[in-house]
Amino acid sequence: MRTAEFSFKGKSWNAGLSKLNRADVYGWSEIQRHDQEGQTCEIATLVEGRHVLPSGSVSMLKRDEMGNPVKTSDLIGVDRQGTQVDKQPSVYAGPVQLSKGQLDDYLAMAVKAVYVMQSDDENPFEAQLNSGELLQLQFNYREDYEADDAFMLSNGNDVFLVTGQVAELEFLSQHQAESPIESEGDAEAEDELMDFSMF
Amino acid sequence: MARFIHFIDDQKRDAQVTFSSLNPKAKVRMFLPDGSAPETLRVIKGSATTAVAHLCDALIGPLESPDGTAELVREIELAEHIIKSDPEVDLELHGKFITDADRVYVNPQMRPVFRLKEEEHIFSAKRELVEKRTPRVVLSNIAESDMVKWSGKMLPKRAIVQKVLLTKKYQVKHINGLTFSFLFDLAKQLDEKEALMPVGAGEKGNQPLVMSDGGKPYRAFLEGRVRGDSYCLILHLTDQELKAPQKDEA
Repeated sequence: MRTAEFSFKGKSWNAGLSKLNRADVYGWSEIQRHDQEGQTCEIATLVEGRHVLPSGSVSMLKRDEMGNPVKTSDLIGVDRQGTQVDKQPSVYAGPVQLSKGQLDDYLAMAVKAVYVMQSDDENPFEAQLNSGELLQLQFNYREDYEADDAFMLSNGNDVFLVTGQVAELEFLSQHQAESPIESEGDAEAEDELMDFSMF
Repeated sequence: MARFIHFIDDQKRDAQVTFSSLNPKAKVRMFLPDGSAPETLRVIKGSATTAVAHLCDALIGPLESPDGTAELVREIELAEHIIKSDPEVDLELHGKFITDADRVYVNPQMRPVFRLKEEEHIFSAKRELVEKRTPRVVLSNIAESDMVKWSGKMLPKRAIVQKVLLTKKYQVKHINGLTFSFLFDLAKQLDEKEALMPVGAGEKGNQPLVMSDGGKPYRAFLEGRVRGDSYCLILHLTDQELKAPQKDEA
């Protein structure tokens, strides 16, 4: 298994990352749909009311103002201040520096992926992880402009790497009451968030 | 759309408040080197009539014996057709941008089907089919006549994060002065004790929460933070323990 090197306070640990899927722990359920003859049906896209496009028939394309197609690799990353940012290396590119993680940051993180860490080497951070401490790092599975936040933690038996983005929390005062009345903008935003695969 | 959640505390006081997803916005956006933003479009690259199975049937004939070899021979023969006459390209359709589309179910003949029979298949962690059943209708149980009960239990944050994965998060928000006090007081208690409080639905408040109709059931915890006269109350949802899959016995 491909391994990454994690360093903290002069000690390092080489470990592989195996993605943790809920289905691998508990199993899963899926809805199968059949027509009146008992044939299995799949979801497809219908365009102009007559063209059936099976799954995999639609691609995303980026284009510039002149209508020319643009490769994703030609794009550059820009932060919120408008400054161009450099690509962040993959976690496999070299030793990854760990720092002590804050529990409140971990709790504010929107989780994207969870990995079980696997290694034949002795884990030099085992004692502190087992005591409930968290170790934090910047994480990119592949090189990219934006790195995720990640925390290493233990359940006492295994070590996990939980990745995502730590949210900037909004603290509400008495005068910041949320309007219970629906606005058109809210409804549109909700529509955009709908995942049609659920149907 | 404002979404509501109906809480009842351990003193039987209840209030409807709102909540929203706690999803951070991207810190980095992608631009062209000249500083302009690219436009993203959906483009057609294939259709039912140019799919491999349809082309095989149309150009070579139906599959007579369903073994893998016969299928492979058909596909090799199709490759020759593709090299000679480009039947996989529909000049009218391919490359067209999609601005409006519908989702439909289709049968293996790629015909839309409108009367479907649904069956739920349950698989074990070992990928074995363990049950087939009629899909259950799961309705939201967090608002209107349903209530989400505060358990009153204060569980240490650190102990919880070592046991479960808190995968979904919502921020709970007041809608007026009274609900501000209701939520602020709870957030303050949780903040002072550095604790998470389990909350649940149902008569006894021990049922998982279903946030929307057709959604999944989740166990839930409330976390509170206070900064001066303001608060942040987070509803954490989980449907997964922090544990690795069982290793197959050799």
